[in-house]
This record gives sequence, structure tokens and C-alpha cells, in this order.
Amino acid sequence: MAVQLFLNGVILGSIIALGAIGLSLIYGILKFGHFAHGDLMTLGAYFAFLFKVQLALPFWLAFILAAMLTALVAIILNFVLYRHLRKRDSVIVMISSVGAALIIRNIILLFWGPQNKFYDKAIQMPIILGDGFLRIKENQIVILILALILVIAVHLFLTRTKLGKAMRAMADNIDLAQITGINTERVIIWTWAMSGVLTAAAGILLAFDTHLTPVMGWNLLLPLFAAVILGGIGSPYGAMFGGLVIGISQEMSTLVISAAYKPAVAFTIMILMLIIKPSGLMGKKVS
Amino acid sequence: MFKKRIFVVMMILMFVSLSISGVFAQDTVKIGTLVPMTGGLASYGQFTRNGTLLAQKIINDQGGILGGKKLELVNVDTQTNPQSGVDGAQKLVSVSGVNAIVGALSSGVTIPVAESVTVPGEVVLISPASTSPILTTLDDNGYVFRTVPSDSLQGVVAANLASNRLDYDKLAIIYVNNDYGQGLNDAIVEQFEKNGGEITASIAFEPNKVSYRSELMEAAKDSPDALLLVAYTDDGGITIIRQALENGYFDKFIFTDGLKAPEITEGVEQYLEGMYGTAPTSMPGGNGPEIFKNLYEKEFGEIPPKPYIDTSFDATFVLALAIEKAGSTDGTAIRDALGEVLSEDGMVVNINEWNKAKDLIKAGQKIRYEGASGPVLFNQAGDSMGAIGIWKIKDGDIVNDSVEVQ
Repeated sequence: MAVQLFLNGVILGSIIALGAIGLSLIYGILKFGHFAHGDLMTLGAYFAFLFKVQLALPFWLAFILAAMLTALVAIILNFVLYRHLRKRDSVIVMISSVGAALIIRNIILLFWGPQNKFYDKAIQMPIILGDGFLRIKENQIVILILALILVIAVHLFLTRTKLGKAMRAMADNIDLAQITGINTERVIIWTWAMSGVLTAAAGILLAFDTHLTPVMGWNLLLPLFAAVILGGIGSPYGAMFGGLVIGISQEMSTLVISAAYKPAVAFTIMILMLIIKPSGLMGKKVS
Repeated sequence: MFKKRIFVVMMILMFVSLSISGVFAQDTVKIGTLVPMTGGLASYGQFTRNGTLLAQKIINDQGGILGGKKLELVNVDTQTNPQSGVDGAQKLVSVSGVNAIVGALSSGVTIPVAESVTVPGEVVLISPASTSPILTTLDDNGYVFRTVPSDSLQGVVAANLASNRLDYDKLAIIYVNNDYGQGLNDAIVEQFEKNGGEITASIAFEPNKVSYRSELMEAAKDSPDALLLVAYTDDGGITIIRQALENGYFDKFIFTDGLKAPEITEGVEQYLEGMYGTAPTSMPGGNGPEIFKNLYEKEFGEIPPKPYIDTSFDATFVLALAIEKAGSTDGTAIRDALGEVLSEDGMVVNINEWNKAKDLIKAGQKIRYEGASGPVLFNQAGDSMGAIGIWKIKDGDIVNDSVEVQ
């Protein structure tokens, strides 16, 4: 049973990790909590629904198109909303992102309605290993592989490309990055694009494992923030690690406490982290 | 200069529209409806709203209410959420100025609405769908009614279905963590244990989560014979069913009224074939249900096998009867009239006989209302006497199986 819960935790954790990478970078570079991140995730999942179910395209193509479209929406949000407000207080940008979250969610409600949607109406029977010792669905194996590929891609992007290095530099210290000649505006746009792709992927994988609902991303927003804070704001690797820890500990907690209190686990970890080491596991020192 | 002129025109338009709406307000009698268009009970919302609209149509087609005024229904979406429900009720009472409300569906919404808005505001509330036993004992000064029977009855029927008809000895229950879920869970546990069965797990779940695998794992632990699921379709019910099947935790289910919707079988027809469920239903006898079905289908097309469409019609119709009897839209007068107008041995009024009802009321006669869900009679607590039906999934569709009377 513990092994099964661990596996469930890794699946949930890798989804949270994908969402948290973008959130952490935005937090690090633009210095505000992006509350529309969860709904961007939902939007990505619904875009994939549009392409896969409504337009009957193959899953891989729907995945890529939805990720690109979500990235585009993230960039548009940046231009229309955040870029103007950034010059003011970061609290204002944060509140405006809550507004953006509500707008996105209601657009989803308008176009796709409030009912649960599925990429595939038929259910999938699990592969049962060792006489019920471990159950895993084919979909879940696909999720783990895709998440792994994306994480490796992010790693290569951040370490091997000029743009990736610039992104990390800006997350570390934006003024210093600017002095060294980094075109911050351009990097910001690319950060939004990358976050858009990753959150869309997280949303699609989450819906692939379960189902689509207009509140799926909003409900996952707080575990996302918990993962970001645990890993250290601005640290993409911390976010990956934080996501896994949050996912696994949420699922494993049901061994000792009732499943109804599962969401509380993420917050307990977050609060403890804020008290003990506010900069997070892999974050820079807070000045 | 130009801007100023626009401003003046705007002001004039605003006053004109205000005075026009004021004129219209005099010619209508307003009833509020609290029906969810989104949230956990969204799949019932449109159809229960149709039920109320059909009653409105019949009343207005037959000369209106209170001496020829039109009946107007004002709906607010509760989002199946207590906070939005309370806000919506507040808006109905203070902005739209209604003194009578049909709604809400979910007990989890109806109870807070009653406690914080309608009872203190002396507004009559008739729920067409809230089945929680807590409503019976609510301290409501008689302002709260419902056109469905309490779940203390549904719980007994569901537990007897499990132990007598299906021969289950061990049952796991997963229920939605609100007044509806808790009330029904308690009633089922009590009766099932009285029948000599064992409840291996009784687990509350939080709505709208993407995964209920841990809840299911916990419920399946002591190898119960079946899972009894108390949930709504859209905020967890369907997810739980699918994940229970996908992960092989359960292959036998019993459902309650919140899941009596064809949506639950989509994509999983072959696994749910032959499963049973319970839901309040129309009392046997009387031709109200049949007339209702015909009228509904003429107006809105085929009627889905979902509960509470008929009870919503009845709630609206009965409120109209009470307003007619009271001769005013005062909340207290409507409350008192509701107790006076209906009687078991009154003159029979069918659901399409609004004119006849008005004449009877004028003559001071009592009415036996043969409602869309069977005869509507309230007991002291404002609960409707009623029946619980057992339904079954057959060829992927929901069919009614049998009826248990109180």
C-alpha cells in the first residue's frame, strides 16, 4: 500500500513540478505571485480538449498545439496586463493576476460549460503487478515519461542555451543581469512562453490522468505555491524537487491521517518551511 | 461640452429606465428561484429551472395571479456553493424584493440560506430537492418547506436495498462532506446496522478534487461487498465512480439521488450495468406525473430521468397557490396560507388547472393538489410526505424500478 501511495505521489508530484517551474521563474524574475497560473493550466488542458476531442486530432499534436496556444495567451497577458502594472507595486500586479485568473476561468465556463469533460470517455483498466501490490494505468506511465522528458528539456534549456542562462541570471539578480547586457524584456517574454508551455503540459497531464473541470487548476494553485516556496523562489530545480515532495507527502499522508485532510499537508510543509528556512531548500538568501 | 451632453443623455436614459421598470414592477408578482447553473448540481440546474418555468407558463396562460398580474420568476445561480447561495438569496430579497423563494437544491446551500437570509427576513422558502434530515428540525418559525421527503426515509430505503434485496453484509460509504452527505450517511448507517450489516468504512470527501484514489483505497480496505456513494455528479461523483473502476477498488455500487443522472454511465456502461440507486419520486396514484410529462415535453422536449424537475414545478405552483390564498405577497401571510390552502380531503386540482384553483380559493375551499410529483401535503415540520423510488441502470440508461412509500 505504501508503494502504491508513493507511486500516486510521484505522478501527482511530477504534475505539480511542471506547473511550479514556471511559477517559480516568474516569481523570481518579475517578483510577484502569479495567481492566474492555475487557470492557465486549466486553459491548456481545455485547449488540448478542443484539439483532441472536438477537432479529433492525434494526442501528440493536440498536446503541442495546446502548449503553444497557452504560451501565446501567457505572452498576451504579459503585454496587456502585467507589463503596464509592473512599474507599480508588486501587490497590484498580484491582484491583477487574480483578476486574470477569474477572467480565464469564466471564459472556459463560457466556451466549454461547467460539466466535467474527458479526453477519453472509456475508462482504462490498470496493469496490476504482484497480485494487487501495485496498480498503474497506461496513461500514468505516459504521464511519467512525458514529465521526465519535459524536465530534462527544461534542464538542457536552462544550462545549455544563452537564453536559459539569462533567465537564471535574471531570477538571481535582475539589476546585475541588466548591467551585463541582457535584454530583460526579451527574456521576460521567453519566460512567459516557457511557463505557458510547462503549465499547459501540467494541465493536460492532470486531465489525462483524471478529467477536466474549470476549477482543476485553481484547486492545484496552492500546492503549486507550496512547491515553489519549498524549493526556493526563483529556483527552477527547487520547484521540481518541491513539487515531488509535496505530491508524495500529500499521498503518503493518507497512511496516517484521513484522506479528507490531504490538502492540509501541503500547507503544513509550506508553513514549516517559511518558519525554518524562508529562502527555501535551493533558494538564495532573503535580504 | 460634448462629454457633458452625453452625460446628460445618460442620466435621462437612466431615469427613464428606472421609471419604466417601476411601472412593470406593479404588474408582476415575483418569486425568486435559487437554482444552480454551475457547480456540483449543474446537471440538474437547467431542468429544474424548466420545471419552475413550466409552472409560471401555466399560471400566466390562465389569467395570472392576484387578479391578473403576471407571475415573474427571478433566478440566481447558487453555483451549488453555500456562500454564493447566501449572496444570491440576499440579492433576491433585498434587490428584487421577493418574499417567496423556490430553492435551493443542495441541502448544503438551503440550510445556510434559510438560517441567514430567509428565516430572519420572513421570506418563505420551498426547496424542491434538499433532502437532509437536518431541515426537519431546523428552527425556522415555519418559513421553510420542501416538496421532497426527508433523507431519513431515503436512508432506510437505501440500507434495506443493500441488505435485503442485494444481500450485502459489508458496505463502505463515501459521502460528500456537507449537510446532504452527512444526513444521508447517518440514516444509512443506522438502518444498515439495524439490519445486522457491517459498515466497514464511512468516509467524507471534499468536492472538486481531481483524485479520490486515497479515499477509495481507504474505503476498500476491509473488502466490503459494495460501495454506497452519496455524491453529486459534477463535483466528485463521476470521478469517484471512474477511479473506483479504473483502479479496481470496487465493482459494485449503490447510488443515491444526487447521482440519478445518465451522465454517470458515460463510457462505463458495461461496468455499471445492473447497479441500483435510490431517489425521491412521485407518490403512486394520481395522474399528476403523467400530465406533467406531457406538458414538459411539449414545452422543452424530452424529459431526462433526473429527479426534482417535478418537485420544482410543484414548489412553484404551491407557492403561487399560497400567494393567491393570502391575497398578498407578504412573507408571513404566504407562510400561513401554505398551511391553510392544502388539505388531503380538499377539492382535487390538477397541475394544469390554475383557473379552477383560483375559483376554489375565492370560494374559500381547500385544495387537494395532485402535483407533478404526486399529491403535495406538508407535515408540521414543512416536509412533504413522499415516496422513495429505487432505480436501476439498464443498457446504460436509468430506469425506475420500484417505489417505497413512507
